[in-house]
Amino acid sequence: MAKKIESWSRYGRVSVTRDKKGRFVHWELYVEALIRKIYYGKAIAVYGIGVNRFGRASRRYEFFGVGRELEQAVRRAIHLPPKDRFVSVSAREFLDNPYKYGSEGYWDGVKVDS
Amino acid sequence: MVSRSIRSPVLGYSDRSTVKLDYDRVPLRIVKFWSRRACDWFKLEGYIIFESSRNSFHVVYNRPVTWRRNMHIISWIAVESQLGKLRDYVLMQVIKESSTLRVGPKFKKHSPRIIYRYGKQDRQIREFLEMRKTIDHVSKNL
Repeated sequence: MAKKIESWSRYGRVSVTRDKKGRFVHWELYVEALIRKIYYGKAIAVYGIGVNRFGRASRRYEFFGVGRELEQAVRRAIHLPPKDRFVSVSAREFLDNPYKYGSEGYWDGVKVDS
Repeated sequence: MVSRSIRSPVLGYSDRSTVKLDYDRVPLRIVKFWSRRACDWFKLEGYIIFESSRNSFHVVYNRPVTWRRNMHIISWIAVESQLGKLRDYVLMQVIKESSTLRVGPKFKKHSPRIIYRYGKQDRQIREFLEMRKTIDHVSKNL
């Protein structure tokens, strides 16, 4: 038995179980909450004074996920300060659709509290 | 039109189950005193102290706790020690509903350095140090 994440046109991302010969056994929706549960408590905070079309304010991302995705998400977040003041999202979800969470702009280098 | 000049944001480690404190403008002996006192009083197993800048220190404790207990501990330290900056830090964590410590460099400040260890270091401290390594790697490759 092997579990794999697949993308189905009708249901989006699903977790599919197949046997050794590759025959279909079971499927279930791939819930973001599952990732959140696995990586709960281990997030990278990216914060500062974000300036974009929504204004200049103290803004913050909290990314949870694994190494490479986190790195790519942080690299992407440098150009895209969040739209809201506080965004907590998985790195993969952010990379799939960055403009849902951020807007083009820059981070201003002034004092900010942690 | 928004300018495209790029400055890096600050990178930090955020979670709810690790007891973390940020002492700003406090001498090291005071930090050591309150760290040791809280560690013994709440049986937190051990702690590690980082120097984030001159007279500014971060403390991370070893034992994992619930968010409710976490808030109880850091509020107790902030009230008992009567350090205004620490009280502000605690209020910020309560507003955000997760506690954060800076790990990467911040403008002219370097990344926090380890300066003191006490007790066990095998649970939350180990996780914190692993995540710190990841964040260091990320910030170097930006």
